[in-house]
Formats: sequence, structure tokens, C-alpha cells
Amino acid sequence: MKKINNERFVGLSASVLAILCGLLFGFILLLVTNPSQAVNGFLMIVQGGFTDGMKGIGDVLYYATPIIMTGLSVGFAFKTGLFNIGASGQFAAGAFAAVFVGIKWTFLPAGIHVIVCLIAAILAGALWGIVPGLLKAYFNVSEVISGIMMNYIGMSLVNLLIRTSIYDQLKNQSLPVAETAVLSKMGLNKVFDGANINAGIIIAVICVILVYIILEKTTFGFELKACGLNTNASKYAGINEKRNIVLSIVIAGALAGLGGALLYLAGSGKFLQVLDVVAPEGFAGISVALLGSSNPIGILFAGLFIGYITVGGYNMQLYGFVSEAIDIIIAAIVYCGALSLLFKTLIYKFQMKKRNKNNKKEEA
Amino acid sequence: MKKRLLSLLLAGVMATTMVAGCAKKPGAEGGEKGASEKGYELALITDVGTIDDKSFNQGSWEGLETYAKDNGITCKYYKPAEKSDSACLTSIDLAVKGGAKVIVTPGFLFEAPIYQAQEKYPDIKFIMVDAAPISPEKEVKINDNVSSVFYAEEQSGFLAGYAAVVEGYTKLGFMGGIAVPAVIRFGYGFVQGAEAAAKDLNISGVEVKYTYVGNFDATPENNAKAAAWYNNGTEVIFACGGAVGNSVMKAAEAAGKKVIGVDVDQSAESETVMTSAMKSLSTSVYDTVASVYKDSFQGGKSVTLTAKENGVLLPMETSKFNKFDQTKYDELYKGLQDGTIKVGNDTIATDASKLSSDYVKVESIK
Amino acid sequence: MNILYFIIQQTMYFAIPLLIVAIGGMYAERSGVINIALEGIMVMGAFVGISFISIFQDSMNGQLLLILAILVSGVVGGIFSLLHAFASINMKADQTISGTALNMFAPAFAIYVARMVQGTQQIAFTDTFYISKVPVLGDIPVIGDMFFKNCYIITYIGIAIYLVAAYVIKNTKYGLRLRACGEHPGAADSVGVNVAKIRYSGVIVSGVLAGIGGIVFVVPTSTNFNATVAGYGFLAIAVLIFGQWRSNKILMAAFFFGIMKTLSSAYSAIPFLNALPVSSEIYKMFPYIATLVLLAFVSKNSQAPKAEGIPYDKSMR
Repeated sequence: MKKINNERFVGLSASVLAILCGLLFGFILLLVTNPSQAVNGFLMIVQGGFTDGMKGIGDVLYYATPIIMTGLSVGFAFKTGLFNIGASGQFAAGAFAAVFVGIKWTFLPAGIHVIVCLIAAILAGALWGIVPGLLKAYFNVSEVISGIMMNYIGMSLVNLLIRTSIYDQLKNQSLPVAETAVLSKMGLNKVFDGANINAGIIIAVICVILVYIILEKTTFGFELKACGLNTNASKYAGINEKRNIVLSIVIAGALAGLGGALLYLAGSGKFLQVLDVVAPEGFAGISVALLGSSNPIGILFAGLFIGYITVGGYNMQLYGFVSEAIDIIIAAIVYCGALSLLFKTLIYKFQMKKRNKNNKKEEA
Repeated sequence: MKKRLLSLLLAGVMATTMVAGCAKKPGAEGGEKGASEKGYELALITDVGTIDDKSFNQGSWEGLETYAKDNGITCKYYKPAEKSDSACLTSIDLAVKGGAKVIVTPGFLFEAPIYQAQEKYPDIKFIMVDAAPISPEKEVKINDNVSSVFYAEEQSGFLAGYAAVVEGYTKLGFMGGIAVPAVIRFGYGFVQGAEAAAKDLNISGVEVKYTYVGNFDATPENNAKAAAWYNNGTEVIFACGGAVGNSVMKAAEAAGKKVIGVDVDQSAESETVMTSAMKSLSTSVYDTVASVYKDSFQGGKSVTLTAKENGVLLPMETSKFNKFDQTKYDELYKGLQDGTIKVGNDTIATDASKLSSDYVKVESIK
Repeated sequence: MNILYFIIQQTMYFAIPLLIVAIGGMYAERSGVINIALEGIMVMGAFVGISFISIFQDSMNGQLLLILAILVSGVVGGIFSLLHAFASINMKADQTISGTALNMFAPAFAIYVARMVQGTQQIAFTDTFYISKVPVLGDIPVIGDMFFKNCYIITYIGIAIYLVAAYVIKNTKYGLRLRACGEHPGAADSVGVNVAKIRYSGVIVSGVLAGIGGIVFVVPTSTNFNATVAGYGFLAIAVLIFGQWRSNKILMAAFFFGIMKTLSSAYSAIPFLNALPVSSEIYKMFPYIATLVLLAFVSKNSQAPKAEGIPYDKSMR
């Protein structure tokens, strides 16, 4: 028991160290480009969502919602030993399905409509996940490669479908979804005045809890993790590895797809664009999953953190900085996170030293 | 050994980080008031493009910046965090927090955000370019602190199309960015201009290839598309979509053909730019900002700037014409001003190919 | 015939960068390191290379400037890839994550620096490199029209790079060692090959070539650089896999993808394709779908390097 706790502690400290390194790198960057304003600009990042009171915090939650979902998607697959780089495509598929149903199926009564939209998104995301899953399980195709391919196929297909079905030509984007398909504000907008908050964040938190329960409290979750840790051993233990691979990535796809729905049904006036760009939320999910050590609770906080500094980076424009600095910082954090082995060894060493010292003291 | 050195080095870096991280905290508490001590009176909020989009963001910014420089006023542009109504509204909040008194917003993206912001900030003047405040329920409402400016793009396109045919070109191309109303107006005007010139000069068999590429970016695909048209015999392409022009110019450079620019004077972009179908973005933003400071700001309505107000033009000084001269231009311009030349806007046809006539054949490519 | 020449000339613009970058990727992967950072490295290479042209275009021009810029891009790509090499070889980090970090970093960095330095995001350059006809060679009938008109010197540099790279990996001692490190690093190590060193070299070669690929991609198709290479780095990975990690198949794959890209944008000028009810999105999807289908068929005897993506640990031998 103690060992597990210690592992968690080390994982957390490694993430914190990665964040600190990334922030330091960002600060140096600001310092180099504009020394006189660097401190002010950096403070804006550090203050993040708190600059604007409750509205700022609400915005943090809004930006965090979709990337928590993609983070969960990537993290869940990661637990099974799969790298779901295809989260972008699943996200786009889910977003399209949700918006499509939101625009077209207006015959559905209020209350039911939005739920059908969410279900459509889940199914579409899962469908987009099943392809790399099957290819991996039955054809031994790397899910990274097929995921990248599916991202681009998804991007073009969604563009095609938008243009042929739900296109607002005057604005080169999707039509607005029906009122009944927009996620309820649930009174949260009264608390976070002026912010874009809605039920999305609550659904995301529910997903976090669900994923936590699946992974930690069910045999199924245990099997998935076992596959991730050691495929051979799990095979001997009678675990159906192929089925688990497919299921794992399908669930991951469903999570990412739902994320797409939560973003585009948020009622924030965001529309699907016909652009040749792979959805960036999927890649943000990789950073989130990594920062959260693929742990659902960790992912929740990592998503909030990234939302937090995104708002901060945006406010940084007041000091003449370009908000892309945040993307640089996040990239630096992810890179440092990839070096987590180094951090972990360092922390272990530090602990060992401490323990040795204590031992020595006891001896003395 | 090497490895150990490396880890030591990294450990050192990390230690510095932590110290730096701790040292920063006291500053964080004291710095909260810092945000608004220095202001930017004039603000522009871009849509998803930036101020180098070769289009309305750039033209509007040039006008704003010039006025700021001429009068020693601070100015700044902001970029919304994402492309959504609420993010645009948040960026208006940020600009106000940054001390803005006048906010210029180019593009339809700000229809809904300004609809809300005009109520929220009644003391701030908003200048909307190519858009008017519209609620999500499609209700148009323009408060007194908002000036909404549109342009008669079809007249500008008309001038360009006329000039191209006078220059002796009979195989024309129109490459629009996205089929938004302003782009359609340019395109339809271009076709009508070509038709008028063909009629006046009695040339038959003018062909116009007509398409919307689906984006406002410089992409290899746009480049290849333009190259294919040039290769097929097209002599001049009206590149009507911001940076799409860069792709077309590249293709024109290779093929030794001509390009007509759009929105702003693009003659500096490439030797191949014969002329640009301009709208007076920069001057009209400049004038409107000036009217705020002269207390003559006329809000509460939406104006469409036509040739009458000198709202559209071809930059004759930088144009590379051989036959189409200033006299002809002035004559046409006068016709547009006094209404003897009438140009239909985006409502005259549902599809460009319907504009075909005895003189001009339009091939609409989807 | 005219249209055929046009398609071939246009295909070159798309295929050559794909070829160079995919060959680069081949060096990294066959040494045992997955490099999905190709996209980011391309952006970095193009960013610095185009900035170089933009700064020096007043004092020099023509082919010399382009060749210098290509060298600069290569060096930048090589240096940038060191980050990936360090993470994946020394730190035994997850190679996909480290690659993703580089992919995220590059465009943000390019935008940030461009906007902080010059105020705007796009970096414009003047094209003084275009060759409408190569002297002598351009006069050869048919072949001259196909390969020596409307071109850039980079087409020939790209092909030269390809030939050298293909020769080196197949026929030299270094090539043998590189391949060994990707298949059986343990065995290579036991006969005295320094696996880490060889893998470093593989990643650096991939970085240099991806950097060059970045500028080679931007120069023929635009008049400015806007912090993106439009997913060509990922497309190059598809080319690499479609080509089954073998140089001759990569050559074919690059041209197949190049033709598809050309058709997706130029189909409206090609009479028989224009009549088909196929939209550009279908052409855009096609290379990726083809790669997926191919993967499903050949994966049973995939030629992927066996030790690809697995950090080499001496103690595990």
C-alpha cells in the first residue's frame, strides 16, 4: 500500500517539476523577447483565470471541459498500453455527429434532443476509435499510425459532410444548432457571471469519476491495465487481449467524441469550421493525459491547469505578448514530462538519501 | 559518467526553477493592479485572421494605426482566444480593460458579440467593418455608439473586370475565398464589368472561370489550382480572398500571367499584380475614428460605401495597365457615381453561371 | 500532352518534399527511433530557412541564396531533432510523446517569434529561384517538357539526396550498422557497435532532411510562410509506411501521394476528371485510406524495423 502511494507521489512530483521547468522556459522566452514587460506578462500567466474574478474561473472551466475529455480518452487508452493519438479525429467525428443531430433532428422534444446529440457524439467517436482498435488487435497495425491516418480522414470527411448537409455558406461554417440541443446552463451562469459555463463541465467530471471506477474498481478495468502492463502475462492469465484492445480504444474514442459534443453544444457561439486543420483539442488531450499521469483525477486537474494558463496567456496580450507563448510553454511541459523518467529517478534518489540519513540518525 | 554529469546539470536547472518559482510569489500579489495602468485607446480585434491577412483586418488596422500615429494616440490589436461568440465578447472585455475608447472589429464574426457589447459598454464607440450587430435570433439593432460600414464590392469588382477586358484579356478567372456575401459581390461585379467592357468594345467570347476555393489561406492546393487554370489558358485571375492571392501570384509568376488583387493595394506583393479591386478600408476606418475625436461620430446606422463616397477604387498609380487609362477609369467612376452605370450585387443570381450572356460565358466550378 | 506535362511538373512540387522527409524518417526509424516530430521539424526548418531568405534577399539572390537557405534549414532541423534524440535515446522517454511535444512547439514558436519580431505572423519572401527552362536539357523533347521546365533547383537536389541516402543505407558499413540497430540492437552492441551513437546519427539525419523538406515544401507553392506545412510531415510518415521503410518503395509512394495531391487541387482543369462527381475532399482522403488498407494487408509480414520505438537498454541484453 505504501509503495503505491509513493509511486503516486513520485508521479505527481514529476508532473509538478515538469510544469515548473516549462514555466521557467516560458519566463526566459518572455525575458528574451521583451525584457521590460516580461515580469508583468509572466504574472498574467501565473494569475491565469483569477484575473477576471468569477468570470475568469468560469472561462477556465469552459476551456478545460473539452480537453479534460480528450485527456481522459488518451489517458484511458494509455492505461491499456495504447497511444491514442487519434483523439483528434474522434473528437471531430463526435462534434460533427452532435451538431448534425442538433440541427436536423428538431422533431425531438426538448430535454431529449440534447441527450440524443450526446449519444450520437459518443457513437461517432467510438466508431472512429474502432478502426484503429480492430487494426491493432487483428492486424497488428500500430495504433499511432492508424490514428494519424484516421485524424486526416476524419478531417476531410467532416469537411465534406458539413459542406453537403449542415453548411452555412454565408459564413463558411455549420448552421447554429437548435435551442433544444444546447447544453443547459444549470444556473451556473448566475454564479460565474458572464462566463460561458454550462453542464459540460459537470458531465466531464462525471466521466472522470466513471473512468476512475472502471479502472480501479472493476475486473474489466483490471484486465485492461494488465494488458497494458504485460501482454504476455495477461494472455497466460486468460484475458482476452484482442477484445480488450478494441474495447479500450472504443471507449477512448467515445470519450473524445463526447468531448466534441460538449464543446460545440456549449452555446458559446462556436461553430464547426470547414478548415483543413486537425482538431487541436486531440493533441491538447495528450498533454493533459501526460501531465495527469493518465490518472483520471490527475487528468481533471491537468485539464483545469491548462485551461487556467490558457486564459492567462490570452490576458497577456495586454502587455504586448503573443498568446502563442502558452502553446510553447505547454509544449515545453510535455517535453519535460516525457523526460519524467529522469525526474522520477531524481526524486527516488532524493528520497533514498533522506532515508539513508534517517537510518544513519537512528543508528547513531 | 557522462550521464551523471547530465543529470547533475538538469538537477541544477531544476533547482533554479524552484527558487525562481518561489521568489516570484510575492510579486504575484502586488502585480494585480498592474494590468490597467497603461492603456491603449484605440483597439482592433481581429477575426481569426491576423493583421497581415491582406484583407479587411489588414486594411482596417492600417487606418487605425495611421490615425493613432498622426495624433499620438496609443493603439493595439487583440486576437480572440478562439473563434466563438463568447471568446469575441471576452476579447472586447479585454480591450476595454486595456483602456480602449474606440474598438474596431472587422468581419461578420462580431455580429452577435457587438450586439451584446453595445449595451454593455454604452460609452465605447464600436466601428464594425463588413458587418452589423445581429442577435442570434437574427434581429438587427444598431445602437448610437455603433457605426457599421459595408462596401459596394460589386462596383470595385466591376472596375476590375472592365479593366481586364479593356487590357485585351478574354480568358479570365475568378478565385474567391469563401462564398460569403462580400466575396460574391466582388465576383458578380467582376463578371458584369467584363460583360460591359465586352459590349462596349464589341468583343464576343469572353470566358470567365469562376470558383470559390473554400478558405482564405495561401495553400499549395490553391497554388496548384491557379497553376492549372493558367496552364489551361486563363490569362488573368481575380484572386478574391486575402492570402489566397499569394498562392495565385505564385502560380502567375511561374506561368508569366497576371493577377488582380483584392481589398487592399496588393501591388507590392508581386510583380504579377496588374491592379487591385480595393475598398477604402483604411481611409474609412481612419475617417470614422477621426469623427469620434471630432465629436461628429454618426452611430446608430449602417452605411454602404459606394463610388459616391469614394468607398471603392482601383489604385491607378500602382496599376500596371497598358490600355486602360486614367481617362477611361474616371469616366467609369463617374458613371458609377451618378448612377448611369448600374451594377447588381450578390442578390442578382443564385449561381455565377447564370450571369452568362452573349458576351461573357461563365463556367462555374464547384 | 500539355496537361500531362503540367501534372508531372506540379506533382514534383508535392512529391519532392514528401520524398526527402520520408527518407529522413526512414533513417530515424531504421535506427530504431520513431520520429513523429517530422511535421514540427519541417516547420522549424521552413521558418528559419524562409526567414534567412527574407533577410538576405536584398544582398543576394537566385540559386545561391536558395542553396544557402536549404543548408540553414537542414542545420536547424538537425539541431531541433537533437531534442528528440536526447529524450528518446538518453532519457529512454516515450518517443511518441517527445515527438508530439516538438510538433506542438514548432508552429507556436514560429508564430511567436515572427509576431514579436516583425509584428505580423507571415514571413514574405521574393521568389528568385524559379527556373522556367533548364538550359540544354529543357530542349529535349518530351523529357525536357516533363522534367526540365517550370521547376526549381530543389527538385534535382531532392533527387540527389534520395540517391545518396538510398545508396548509403543499402551499401555502406554505416548503413548496415544503422539497420542492425533498428532490428537487433543487442546483437549490434555485442559486435561493438555503439547503438546510442548510431541512433543519434539516424535521428539527426531525419532532422536535417525534414528541415530541408520544410523549405523545399514552402518555396515552390507560396510567396510567404505562415507557420505551417499543412500536415506534410504526417503525410511523409504515411509515405514512409506505405513505402514499407524501403527506399525504392518510398520513392514510388511519394510520387503516388504527390499525384493524389495534385489531382485534389487541379482536377477542375483536367477534362475527364472535372466531369466526375468527386469532390476535392475525396482526393484528400484517398492517400490516407490507401495507407490504412495497405497496412491491414501487409501487416502480417510488416517490414517495420523490429526494435523500432523501443529504447535500447544495455542491461536488458
